[in-house]
This record gives sequence, C-alpha cells and structure tokens, in this order.
Amino acid sequence: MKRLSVVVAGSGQIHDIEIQPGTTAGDILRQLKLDNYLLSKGPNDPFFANAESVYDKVKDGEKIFCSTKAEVGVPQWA
Amino acid sequence: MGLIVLGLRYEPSAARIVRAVERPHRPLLRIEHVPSTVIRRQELPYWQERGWTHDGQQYQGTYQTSFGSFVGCVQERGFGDMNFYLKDPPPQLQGSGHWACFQDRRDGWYGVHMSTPPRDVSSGILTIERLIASAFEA
Repeated sequence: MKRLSVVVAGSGQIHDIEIQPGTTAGDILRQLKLDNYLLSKGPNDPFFANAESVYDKVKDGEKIFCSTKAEVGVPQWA
Repeated sequence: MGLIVLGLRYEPSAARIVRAVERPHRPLLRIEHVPSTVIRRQELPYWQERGWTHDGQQYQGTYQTSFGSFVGCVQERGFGDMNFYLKDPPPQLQGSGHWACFQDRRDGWYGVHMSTPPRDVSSGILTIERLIASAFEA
C-alpha cells in the first residue's frame, strides 16, 4: 500500500488515498469522481495514461496533481 | 553511567527533555512528552500555490519548470473563456512543433492558443508549464 495526496489543481482540494500495486490513474479518477481530469506528478512530468499503473511511479506519501484536460494547439477546423 | 528514564512511552527523539537531574549515586533523567501537533495543509488552487496573483479578471505570475520560470498572464473573461499569455518564449519553444499555437501580441507577449481549453486557470498553467518543459527536453 502507498499513501498519496491527490490535489485538485483548480480548487486545491486534497484527497488522501491509499493505492495497491496495479492501481491505474483511471481507477483513481473514477473513484474520486473526477471524470475528464488527468493525473500527473507535476508540470515536469507527463500525464498518466488512464490505463497506466500509478503504483510503481509514485513514492509513499507523495503529492500528485489532477487537472482538467487541456491542449495547446490550433483547432482542427482552423 | 546508568540512567533511569521516567515516563518514556515513545521514541526518545520525539520527546522533549525538560529537566535532567543527576544524583551522585543514582543518575536520573526526566523526560516530559508534548502532544504531537497535526499541521494542517493549505488547500490552495495551483495558481495560488505557485505564487500567481489575481486582480479582477487577470492573473499574473510565472510558468515554473525545472528549466526556468517564464512570465505569464491569464485573462479570464467569464463562462470558462480564458486567454493565456507567455512573455518572451524561450528559443526551445520557438523551435518546437507547437510554435504555430503562439500568436505575437507585441512587446514580447505571445497568446497561447488552446485547441482543448482548460476548465480552470490552474489546469491551463499546468498545461503550459508542461509544454515548456517538453520543449526543453526535446
């Protein structure tokens, strides 16, 4: 088991969770009812894919961020 | 020298020594325990935690990455409409595939176009920070 603090970037709200080996980013977001959000360790790290296991990539007690989906780019129709 | 410790219920490192009395025939160390204090965490939105300031509809601060900090600004127009700006983008960004998404607004300021707009200012700041960091890593 690892303990994590999931910080919702927009509000600062913190969810303290415990994860087991094999827990995916999607599992965490679904259980926290944070659909359409993405998890990351911070601005210097990529987003976790929904099906990606988070357990091996985080340390016990670590703080991770959860932010809404956003993409820098020119729209398809432009 | 032998010591008798009174009232030691936790690890010695967690205890506070308030009085030590040494007797010639029977050295004595008294330890008093102070209840632990739970430090409350601040629950701040990301923009605030990163030192951005908010005045009316405008946020000002820096996009912070492990490669440096870059001056930025966000204008919130309501109903989820936000414009993100970056001053003096680094050359690494100018050479990246995303450069077409930056529009020159004069005086070194560039508007950042979002094809998928964030739902809050903090998520937008995080996205731009990640983009800058990835341009340096490329």
